[in-house]
Order: sequence, then structure tokens, then C-alpha cells
Amino acid sequence: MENTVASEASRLRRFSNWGSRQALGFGESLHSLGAFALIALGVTVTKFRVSSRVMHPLIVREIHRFGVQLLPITAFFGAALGLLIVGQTVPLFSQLGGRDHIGMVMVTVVVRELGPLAAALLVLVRAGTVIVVELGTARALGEVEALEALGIDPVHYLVVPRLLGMMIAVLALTVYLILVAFGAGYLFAFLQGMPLQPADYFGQIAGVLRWEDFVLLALKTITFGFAIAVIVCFEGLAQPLRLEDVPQATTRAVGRCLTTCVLVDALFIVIYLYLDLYRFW
Amino acid sequence: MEETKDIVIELAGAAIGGVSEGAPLVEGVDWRVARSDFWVVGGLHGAGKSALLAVAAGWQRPMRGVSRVFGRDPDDLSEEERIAQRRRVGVVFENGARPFHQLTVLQNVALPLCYHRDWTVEQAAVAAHELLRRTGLEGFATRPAGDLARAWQQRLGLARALALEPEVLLLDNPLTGLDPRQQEWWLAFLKELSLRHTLVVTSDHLEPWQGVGRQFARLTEGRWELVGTEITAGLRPGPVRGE
Repeated sequence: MENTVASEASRLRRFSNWGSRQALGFGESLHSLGAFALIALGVTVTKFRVSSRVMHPLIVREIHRFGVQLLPITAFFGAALGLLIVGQTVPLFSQLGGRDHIGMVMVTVVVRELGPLAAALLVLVRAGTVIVVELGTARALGEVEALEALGIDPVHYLVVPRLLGMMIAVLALTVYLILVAFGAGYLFAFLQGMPLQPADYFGQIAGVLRWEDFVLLALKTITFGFAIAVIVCFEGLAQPLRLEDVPQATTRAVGRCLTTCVLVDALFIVIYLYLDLYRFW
Repeated sequence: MEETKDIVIELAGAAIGGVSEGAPLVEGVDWRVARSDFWVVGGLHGAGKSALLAVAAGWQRPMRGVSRVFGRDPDDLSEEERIAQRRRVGVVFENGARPFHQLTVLQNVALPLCYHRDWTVEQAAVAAHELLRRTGLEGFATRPAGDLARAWQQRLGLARALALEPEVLLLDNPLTGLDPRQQEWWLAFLKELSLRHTLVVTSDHLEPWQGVGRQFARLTEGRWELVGTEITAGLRPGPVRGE
């Protein structure tokens, strides 16, 4: 009996120690990530005009890599999203006689929720992982020290273009995805024989949209882009890495980005609720 | 402190550690590098040569003692002063010199020129091509740096370090892994370069530098030892601390 109690106590102690270590590690990571985010933001603002002949083409290149090159897959996802939403709601509204509400559903689901999140996740999967590998490899091969030896700030040269490129790319891709989803949604409704004119459909959408939607959409997508860029750059750059550590850093970065995106999304739901944007009648 | 005339690097009573915490690798380093010197520092693998160069470049603090680069303690420099100082000290890393693998050979050399001088690519390309010609790399200009063999990457590191026309050039073990012909090229090139630059070279062995370097020192069993201006016969780097 005594042995059982002692064993239970020992297990509890081990569990408690493990929990404390995890909590401490999480706090430490959060602190380092926050410091890195502030440094990246500070360098972006203070050195935006420094070495513009090198830096501005790099920013354009990153927008092309993270934005323009992702247009086809974003169009595919936008079309799929429009088809799925309309495909699910048209039969429902046909039975309930609520075809005037399709615009409301599209704005709520596509503009406020899934559009920004889907675009952010696409950029994370297609570009974020690439950044961790690029920066992690550069770090492991000593290129970061080589930049410092030449008096080139690695945060300025390596992080700033990726940060700005990703923020702009997520914003632009979200707008693109939403427009494609709207178009695909109408197309599917038309093919299902729903008696809805284009003017009515887009009129419904325009009627539901408020000016706050545009501001919050921009803020949300830029926050997604900033968070993803900071996390992937931090994982690739901020700690000494060996080449064999790069895959693990990539996995860690994806996990952290997903968690952060969901948390940011939840924060914006609270803001939408606070601004009473879910009230349609 | 005012920049001491003609002294570019100064270490006094310095204890130099490696990357990880622990006992210093070398202690009691009293070293003054004057303008136009050509120092060769010998020491076997693990003796602390790279750490010594990191301190000499102002990137790393000595664990004890004083270090000054161009008369200034690196810790006292502002961000702008630190960048300006790094432009005056060129560094060639060992084992392939850490080129930027994603860039071409030409872009590797042009990058510091475009970044610091705000030159156009065309302006930088002229200067970069000249450096590639001097280092025998002109045939590789458009190749990705990552595709080059280690020996050519080492030369690329040299060309890149020379791009900003540094006053002092620090070279970490530049002869490592090179065949005799490549070694011969390096020795001849650096001898000629030393007529216009202050050079500090580390090397596993001092012998190849006989008649090339002008001042010699070595790291032996954790101690700094000045050898003088000539290497006496049979003088090889001694064992490292702990051996």
C-alpha cells in the first residue's frame, strides 16, 4: 500500500516537473518570439530606405514568390470554397425559401472567416515552409555570420523582404480568393437552377458588407502575414541550427503558425461580435 | 579613445574562449597588429585560432583582458560605428569561406558593394568582375556559388572580402584542404596583397608561410607565444590545451 502511494506520488511529481518545464519552455519561446517580432518590426521601419537598390527588388521578388506564384492554387481554393458554400446552402434555402440570404452567408463565411484563413494557410504551406528551410540552411551553412562579417544586418537582408512580401501577399491573395469564391458561388447557384440574377446576388453581398469589413479584412490578413513571417523566420534564423535540425524546425514552425492563425482568427471573431457585425436584421 | 596611429588590432592580457562556455582556449594574449603587418598565427585544430580571429575582428569579447579594433573597444560602438568597423575588417572563413549558395559567384561579390554603396548592379558588376579576374574566378561568374568546388569557394570568399577594400584582412586557415597548386596560388596572392593590406592569417602549420608572412606567433597548450619575424627550423605548432 505504502509502495503504491509512494509510486503515485513519484509519478505526480514527475508529471508536475514535466508540466513546469513545458510551461517554462513555452514562456521562454514566447518571450524570444516577441523580442524577435519587435526587432523585425523595428528594422523594417527604421531601415526601409537603407540600401534600397538591393532591398526593394528583394521585396518585389518575395511578393512574386509568395503572391503571384500562388494565384493558380488560390483560384482553385476560392472556386472550391464558393462551390461548397453555395452547394450546401442553396438546397437548404430552396426548402426554406430564403434565397435572399445567400449574400449574407457568403460575406459571413468567405469574407469574415474562411477567405482570410484559407489564404493564410495556403501561404504558410507553400511559402512559410520554404522560408524555414531557406533560412535554416543559410544559418547552418554559416551564411548568416558571413552577412554579419560584411556589415549586412541579417534581419534587414533576410527577414524584412520576407515579412513585407508575406504581409502583402496574404492580403492580396485573400482579396483574390474572395472574388473567385463569389464568382464560383454564383456560377454554381445558376447551374443548380436557382432563380437569382447576378445583380441580385452581388447586390445582396454589397448590402451586407459594411465599411468595417474592409478595414478588418485588411487588418486580419496583414496580421496573419506578419505572424506567419515572424514565426517562420524565427524558427529558421534565430537559433543556431545544424542541417539535420532544419526539418524539425519546419515542423515546429508549421505547428506554431497554425495555432497562432487560429488564435488571431478567434480574436477577430471577438472584434466582429464587439462591433455587432453579425447582426443582419 | 582615439584611434592609435598604425595599431589596428590590440589585445592585452586577453583570455579567449570558444563558442560554448567553459575554460578559455588561450590565455595571456598580448598582441598588437600594426598597419602593413602580415601576421601568421599557427596552432593545431582546436587551439583557438578561429576564436582569436573572432576577437580580432571585434565580433567576440575576450573572456578577460582588453581588445581594441582601430583603437576602439567593440562594446563601446554604436550600431552605425559597428557596421562601419566591419567594413574596414575583411574576413575569409575557413572550409569554403561560407559563400551565399543561392547567389551566383558575381552576385556574391557584388552584394556588399550594392548594399553599402548603393551601387546599381551594373556599377557593382564592373568592380566584381575585376575581383573575379584577380582571383581566377572570371569563368565562374554566372554559376551558383553552391555549385563550386570547395577550393574555388575559398577564393570566392577572398574576392567577396576584398570587395569593400578593407584595411585589414583576416583569413582563417585559408590553406586547409587545398592541393599544392592551389596552396601555391594562395601564398603568392597573399604575399602580393600584403604590400597594400594588413593581413592576419591562421594556419595549422607555419612552415608554408616562411618567406611569405612577416610576423609569426603560435597557440600552444592554451598559451600565446610570439615566434618573431622568422620561423626557426623545426618549429611546429605544439599541442593544444588538454592533449
